[in-house]
Amino acid sequence: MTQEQAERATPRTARKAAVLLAIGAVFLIGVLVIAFTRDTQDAQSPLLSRPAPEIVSTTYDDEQFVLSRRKGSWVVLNFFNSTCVPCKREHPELVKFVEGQRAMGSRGAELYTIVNDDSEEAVRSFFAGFGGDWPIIRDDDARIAVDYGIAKVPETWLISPTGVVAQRFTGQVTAELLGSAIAAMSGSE
Amino acid sequence: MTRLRSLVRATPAGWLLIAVAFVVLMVIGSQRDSSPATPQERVEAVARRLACPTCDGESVSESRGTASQAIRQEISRLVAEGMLSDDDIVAAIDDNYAESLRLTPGSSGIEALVWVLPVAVGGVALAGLTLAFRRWRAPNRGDVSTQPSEPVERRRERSSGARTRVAISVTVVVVLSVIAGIAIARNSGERRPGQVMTGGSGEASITSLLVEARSLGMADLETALGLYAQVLEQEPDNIEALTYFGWLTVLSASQIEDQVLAAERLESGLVLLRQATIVDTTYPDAHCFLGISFFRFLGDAEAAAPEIDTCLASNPPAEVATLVEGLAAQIEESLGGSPTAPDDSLVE
Amino acid sequence: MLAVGLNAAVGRGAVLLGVLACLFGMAITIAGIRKNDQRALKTSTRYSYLALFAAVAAVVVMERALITRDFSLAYVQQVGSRSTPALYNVTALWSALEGSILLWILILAGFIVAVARKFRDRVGDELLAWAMVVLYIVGLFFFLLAFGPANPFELGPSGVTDGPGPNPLLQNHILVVFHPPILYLGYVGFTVPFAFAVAALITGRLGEGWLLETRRWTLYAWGFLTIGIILGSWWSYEVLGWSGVWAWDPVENASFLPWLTGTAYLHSVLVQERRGMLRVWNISLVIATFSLTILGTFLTRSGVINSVHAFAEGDVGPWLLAFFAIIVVAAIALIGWRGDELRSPGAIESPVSREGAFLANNFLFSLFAFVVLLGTVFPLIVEAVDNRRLVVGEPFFDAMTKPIGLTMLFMMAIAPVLPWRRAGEEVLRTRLFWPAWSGVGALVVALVWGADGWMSLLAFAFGGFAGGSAIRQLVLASRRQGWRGLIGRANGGMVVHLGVILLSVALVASASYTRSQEFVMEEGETVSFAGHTFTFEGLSVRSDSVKSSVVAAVRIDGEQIYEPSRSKYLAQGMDIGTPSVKTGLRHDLYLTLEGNVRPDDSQARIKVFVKPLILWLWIGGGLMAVGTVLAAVPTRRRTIPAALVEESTTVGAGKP
Repeated sequence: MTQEQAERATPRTARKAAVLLAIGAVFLIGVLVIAFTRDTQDAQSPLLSRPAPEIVSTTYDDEQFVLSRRKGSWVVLNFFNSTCVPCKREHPELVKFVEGQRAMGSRGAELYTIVNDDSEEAVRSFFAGFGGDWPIIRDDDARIAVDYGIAKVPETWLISPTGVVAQRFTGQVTAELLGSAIAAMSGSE
Repeated sequence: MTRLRSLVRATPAGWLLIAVAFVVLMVIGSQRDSSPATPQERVEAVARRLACPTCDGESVSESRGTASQAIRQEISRLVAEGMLSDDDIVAAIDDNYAESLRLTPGSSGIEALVWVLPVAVGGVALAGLTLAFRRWRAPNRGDVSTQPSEPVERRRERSSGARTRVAISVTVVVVLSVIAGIAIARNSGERRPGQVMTGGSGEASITSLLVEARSLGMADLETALGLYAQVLEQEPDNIEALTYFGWLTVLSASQIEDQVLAAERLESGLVLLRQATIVDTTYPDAHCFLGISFFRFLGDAEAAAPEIDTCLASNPPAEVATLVEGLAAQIEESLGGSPTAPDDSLVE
Repeated sequence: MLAVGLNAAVGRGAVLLGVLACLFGMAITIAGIRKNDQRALKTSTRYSYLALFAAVAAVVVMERALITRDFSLAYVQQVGSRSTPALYNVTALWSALEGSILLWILILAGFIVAVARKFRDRVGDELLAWAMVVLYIVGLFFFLLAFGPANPFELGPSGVTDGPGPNPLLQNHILVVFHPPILYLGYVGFTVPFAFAVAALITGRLGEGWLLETRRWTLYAWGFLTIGIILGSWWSYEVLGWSGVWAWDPVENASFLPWLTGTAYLHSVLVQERRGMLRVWNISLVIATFSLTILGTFLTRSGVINSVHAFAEGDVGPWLLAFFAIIVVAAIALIGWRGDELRSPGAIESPVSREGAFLANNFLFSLFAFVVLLGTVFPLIVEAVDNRRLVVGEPFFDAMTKPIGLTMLFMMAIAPVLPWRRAGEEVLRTRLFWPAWSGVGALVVALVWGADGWMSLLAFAFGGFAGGSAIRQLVLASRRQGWRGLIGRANGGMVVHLGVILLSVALVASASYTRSQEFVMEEGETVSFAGHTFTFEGLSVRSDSVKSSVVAAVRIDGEQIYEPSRSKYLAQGMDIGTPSVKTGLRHDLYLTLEGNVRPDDSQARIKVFVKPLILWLWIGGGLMAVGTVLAAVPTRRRTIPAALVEESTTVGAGKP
């Protein structure tokens, strides 16, 4: 009697457990899929629509770079690290973007790569291997990364010709995305 | 058995002694001061609550990177000053950065979920466990079985009543667990003070003045000129203000009817532009505008040529470059031919 | 010139061989099951030997390439270097993603062969056959990874003659030789009980047979995982310079999660053996353990979560995620399908019983795992929903896991004295009396040594309580059986418990009572801190082919000199600080050299950490390892399960 009752008393434990586990698993896998396929996001930042924090640094070609002097151009800042997977994946897109902007002549946007906490050799060899001849800006003391609040590379920032932070992209970008963003915002200016 | 001996046996008295000893010792221990003794330890404690902004999820205390060293120095400075509490130091540093650096999830909003969920799940699971135990125990306790003799309807009633009871108790447990979770979130999560944007420093105001003036463009010369004038009051050597004040002055000259006043205005604008080129010879915009002014407003191609050359060699930004586009060719042409009349209508 | 492509070709060929071996093994085994063809089943196990051969060949070729510095391979270009010492070139095999997959394959193939050999007499058994199928499928997946997206034998750009070498942190300590392989032995080892669990579900033979088959395999895997994690902490302590042993880093959590469910499984399985209950729990736990190893592999290799430990590259992310999804979905489907048959014939009569304790144990460990998993993936959730970056760090994990840990310590004290079925109050009162006094004693000792804080004190008290309980069991067992009282599952388990208690107490002490101070010292200056004196005796420079270091000489207590340093690694341009540690029974003195030091500086910034009881962390870990070995020694069985013919396993065991 006891055994029967015990059996009746625990009906379908396995099925219930399976359903619960299934819900949990679906949720977990869903989150992972979203996180993994999420490429570019329009990210928030308290700096949006505010003056871009000043950058004073040198490039890998030992030239001085001052951000405020580039007012009048669209400036694209790409925060990069030679070991980050999405950075490497988006690099050909950046090359394409630069080519497109150069084709527009003097009206084109300017792209700068900012490197913090990486070895110069690794970055140089990366650019040598994958192309790209735009200026690379040093950020050895992390001032720039900290001022812009960079947490995870890659990040791409669009600075308008008046020196205002127009947009911030976290994650990989494409040439198309950058180009159309700039075009849209230039039109409204 | 003597009293004393009963204390060292597993008797109720013995257990009571253990309980008393335990409580007394815990009380003694909890009263002791356990706050950080050295400033360094306080820095470590604060650093453990902040994430390094450029690292992969490490805390400032673990990371050896340059950004965390910078933050640790800042924390040391604030600790040495001794005026702010730990919470205030965390808030002060966190506010400087665009992204939140706090390693403890917040006490409200979606972040509180990470506190609430485990407590809620734990509570529900615990309730389920108790339920399961009760169900298992019931058949074993009730050897005196009354069920078979009950009429069928009464049995069904009882089971449906039991089901509603179960449903109610499940809901109650879930609600209680969630409330407990929220309470823990409120207690342990980081409270976020309102975001305070620092904007009072002189440097920031100059930047915003410049940005505002730049956004007006050449649409509203008077206001822009006023803004640049303000900048120059604070920082007479500000290269951008000098240059653009000069350039806008030059442009405004062309709008003046009176020829004499216009010429004066033009001259003062040029003076400013020249000053700008002296303050910083590498600033392209100043040279570009000088060149444009010489060529378009004064018709002086010879003076314009070297300025335009310097301008183009200094990598001017896009807006200025487009203004100068084609100018170099025109200047060359006119140097080969006769000087052209000044063109007042050129304001783009 | 021929040799240039040789390594790549042979290596790739070996991997392909492995793919085919697993594929054919799987196919033939399935065919054999379908047609009940004994011969097919017998030959199918031979394919495991082929897979092992392929794996060994691939690893040997890669090691050869690393040792001979064959820079035609992209992988060697990445992690090999002419100037790294030979040993570190060998360990460079597992210092980056593609090579680590090779290591995984090697160990997995080894396990598959071991299973094939161990059960060769029962090769016609359907359960075993399905287990082999599952093993072949997992092997096939990893071989495919090494053939496709994580190809280690890919040719790099030609003309490269030197490389940067492995990450500096992976070439300055001997533990790099041990930690990854041992950790992988743990991870991969869990594939075996997983395979048998799935086979049991498929064949519907859910009795105790499969459990007993794999009992020792699970124990070994668990043991390796435990040692691997502890070695990782030790390595991190010795090398990184922040003086901590655990950072709740996502990769660390990824290794901890399977440990949690694995531990729960090891305990809960006893209930199934003894009374045939908690079957759903056990199947779920063993499947969860394996799934979590795959999830962990995904998290560390996909770039989804940032971590300093993460392998920084690769396209394996989608593959691993898909594999994880397939496993989880398949497992849940199987459990749901066979659910009815999993229902156990018994019931837990009283919560105050051994079974009740183990059920509560399952619940505690699952909750712990849930907290760690939630905290690890929560940044992803917030990012998905709110488009905001968030880091969940130590404060959260500490706050959430401490109560659970305390409860576990308490359970560790009580559970060993609980009898099966039902415990009377009398029993508990007597059996727990002296352990309770040892708890009080531990509290006194802690207070005398200056401890404070109610949570830490509670941990010490419960630790003493649990320790007393474990020692009591061992004493009773050895009184009954002499030296045999120390071996066997129950007694070995008590030794492991002692190790865990030591480790927990040490963790609490070092987390709560670490003292630190930073000193700017002139040459010849002496400072005193925490009862010790430190004399800075000057800086010196040491350099070799790989790095150039500025070394500070610090004399502690007027006796020995300790040398924290900062090194610049020439190839990668990275600046790494190396701490110097004086170990002691009561505390470690941990010294680091801070800041940008130049060799001609007259002052140095020396940071001193006083870390209590760190040595006991490693001792506790060692005790856990010893206990695991003791637990694995076979003893006289009290009951002989019906459906099993126990094969003699290890030497020197007594057979029933």
